Amino acid sequence: MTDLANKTHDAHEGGHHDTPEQRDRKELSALILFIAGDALFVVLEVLAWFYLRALNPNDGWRFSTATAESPALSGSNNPHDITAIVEQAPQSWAIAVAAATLAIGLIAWAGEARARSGKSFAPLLMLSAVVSVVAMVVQVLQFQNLPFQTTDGAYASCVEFFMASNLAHLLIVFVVMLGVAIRANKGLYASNWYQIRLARIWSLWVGISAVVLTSVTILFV
Amino acid sequence: MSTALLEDTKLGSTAGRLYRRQNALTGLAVGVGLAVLGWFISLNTVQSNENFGTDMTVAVTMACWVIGFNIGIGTFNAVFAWVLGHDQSREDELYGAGVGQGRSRYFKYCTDHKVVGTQYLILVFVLFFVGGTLAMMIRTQLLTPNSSFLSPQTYNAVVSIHGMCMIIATIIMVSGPFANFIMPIMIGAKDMAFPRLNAMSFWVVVSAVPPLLATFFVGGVNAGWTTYAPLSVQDGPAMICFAITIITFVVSVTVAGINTLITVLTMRAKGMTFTRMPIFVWASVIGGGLGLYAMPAFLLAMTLMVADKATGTSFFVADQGGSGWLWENVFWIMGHPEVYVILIPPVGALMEVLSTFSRKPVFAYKMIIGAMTGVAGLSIMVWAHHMFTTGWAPDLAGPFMLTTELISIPTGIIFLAAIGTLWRGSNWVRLPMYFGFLFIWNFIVGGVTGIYLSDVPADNYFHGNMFVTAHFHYTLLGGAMIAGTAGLCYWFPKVTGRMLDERVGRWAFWLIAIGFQVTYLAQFYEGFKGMPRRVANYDPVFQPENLVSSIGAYVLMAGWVVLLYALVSSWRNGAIAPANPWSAKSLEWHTQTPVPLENFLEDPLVINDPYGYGGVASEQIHAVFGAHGHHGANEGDHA
Repeated sequence: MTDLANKTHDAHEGGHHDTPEQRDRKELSALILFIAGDALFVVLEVLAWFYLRALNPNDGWRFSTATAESPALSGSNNPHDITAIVEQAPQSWAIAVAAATLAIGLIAWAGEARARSGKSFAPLLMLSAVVSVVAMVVQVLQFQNLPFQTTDGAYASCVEFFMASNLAHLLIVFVVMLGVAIRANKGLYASNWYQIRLARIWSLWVGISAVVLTSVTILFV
Repeated sequence: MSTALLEDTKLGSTAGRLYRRQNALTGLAVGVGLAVLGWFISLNTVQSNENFGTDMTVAVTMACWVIGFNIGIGTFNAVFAWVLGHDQSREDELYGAGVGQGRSRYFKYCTDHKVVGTQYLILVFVLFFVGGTLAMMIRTQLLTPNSSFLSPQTYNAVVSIHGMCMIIATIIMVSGPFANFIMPIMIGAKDMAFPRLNAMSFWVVVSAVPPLLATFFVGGVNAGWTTYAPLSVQDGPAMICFAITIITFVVSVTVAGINTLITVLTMRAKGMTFTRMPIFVWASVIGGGLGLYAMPAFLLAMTLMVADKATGTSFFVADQGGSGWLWENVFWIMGHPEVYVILIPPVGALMEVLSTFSRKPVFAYKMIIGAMTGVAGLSIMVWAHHMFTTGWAPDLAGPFMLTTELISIPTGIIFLAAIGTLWRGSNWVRLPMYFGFLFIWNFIVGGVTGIYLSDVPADNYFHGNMFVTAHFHYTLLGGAMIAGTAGLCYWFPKVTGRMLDERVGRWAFWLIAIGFQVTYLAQFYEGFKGMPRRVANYDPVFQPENLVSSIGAYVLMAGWVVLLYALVSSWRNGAIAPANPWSAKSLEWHTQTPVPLENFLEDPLVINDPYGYGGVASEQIHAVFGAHGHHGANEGDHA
């Protein structure tokens, strides 16, 4: 039975079974398109930030004029009134998340370089998977250490949405890096390592997007 | 033929592994199970929040349904296997492609592009049936000025879901069935570039449908298909179902778009240069690419909406710093390109029909490609014409009016190319051509009325009234859907292996053609008289036109039902189709019917463009096959 399957495959070389080079070409092209779409999403996120910040309807960006005597959101369905300007999110947490996210891509890059030069690279890929977990943990801690609630106006909304989108990015990075690390440990990248390059490109993009979003939250409050 | 058919391969009892146990029923079971679990957990954790609890519960439940269904059907199998370092064997792949499974493969996570295309076709029928039924409810309500057939709230819900159901259906009506079934064969490929992602794109969109229909059971969507904020933010939990549908749909369209582009970029047969590609392939690429641009905006809009409703953020709530204009901008940044995501692939299909049945090459081939690209490029710069009357950025009204009017130039080129293709052709007027002629009429009415709406002063009058309704139905239904129907009638013999019943099909055509004109010309008149759209009751002064429009709508629906009957009966009992009943030149007509797995028994070598019709060019062959270079360009010629 298997013989017959192989015979028919020989007659249809290049069908469902591609060479690593063909798969590299296809998957790299697909990844570029996916990143382009994802980049558009990030750009629109940033546009939403600047739009709401500039428009500032009802002083709702950070409620800079809110006081205990004249609280914001009084009468709305918000669970609590706001009695002072919404505090800025701590920069240290934001920078830590961005740095950890960027580090994943850089470690993967180092792993890819070692693979290219024929050196051991599996530990570095496992390290990048571990760092992606660390980055997610730090991201969750950042959520817990915000000085505002989700309902505290447009600035708070944007910051938390940026964080959530980065967390989603990190989840995908974790799955990808875990996959390449396990496969590297199994020796599946002995003859070709194009998937490591793809994983590196994706994780680097996620790192760049984290830096961009973090920069916006720090520089344009 | 010397090569064994892959379909005849005997597979081992373990081939396919987990996929052997998975089908639509396991998807349903896991989806419902996970949804119930998510609902239960959510109910006991976040429901206590009186402001956002219900919305969050619905969001978690619907998200769990989508994830669960896709786990159950097998969408994530390959991901888990890859992570664990297990690659599929050749036997697994053949099982995944449906070998040895008979008709059950249509209910499974099948990677064969032809199966996926057929699955899409059935799904499109279902969506059009649902959307069409809702349309009939709308027209029945509007038969009389103060009808109580539907309550105002139910009417709003019906209008909203009719709109979104039809938008989803029209986006996938050609890019789903034909860009999957036909396009890879047209370029000489053995499958799509990513067969598993191809199956994923289908089953993900299947999982998006129940949340859309569930909206009726949780209060209905009252904000229309555009779900403008803050109305949508203030709406009930149905809005969450609606948003989950769109978010899921975006994933499907994105995956499908990437797959289409990469397939065309990397899997063309030898000799299939870009200038030898059929227009439909170009249209699929341009439509798919434009979808990749539009979908992130749709995703952002709906994700922000879910955040506002389920977690209390304030992106669109003005008293907390949000803005309805943000919604409108993000939505229409998606919304206008999306019109061309819908329109361009069917127009590509139509060009194939016109060329084949006029026995002439497509007129101004390169100009059409340029025009389609121009339409796609301009469509991303026109979104604010939907917002002329909202008060947003009045200073930009002029520039947006200009870009919108500019788009009529490439659109006009496409129209003229269609006419040029027919001009002095040996027109063979079969059913696809009937729909081709209808498209040309509808397209010009839809296009010309669009120019009125791009004009700021005229739009101020027309924007909120039935003129707009008539215009976009002329464009999307009369244009895209009729062109798609031409494509369906054209490729029906290749997809089903049966000839479509032309006699019944022509009855359907005339009912559709007449019903459509009556329905929407009456609506133009309502618009001129100033009847507002999206209203359940209206002033009696508008009754005559509404009566005419509703009668036209019933005739139109009857036409679609007759066409559906023709399709189903022909699919079951129609005459067996020869491989090339139209004597067409493109590759899909030069392989067997039914098309074998991996499409060609011998690899094609493309040596010319696919439009060698007429005069000396009639001897022109598009491709030769196999090592001996024999051709089948005139196999199955009609008399």
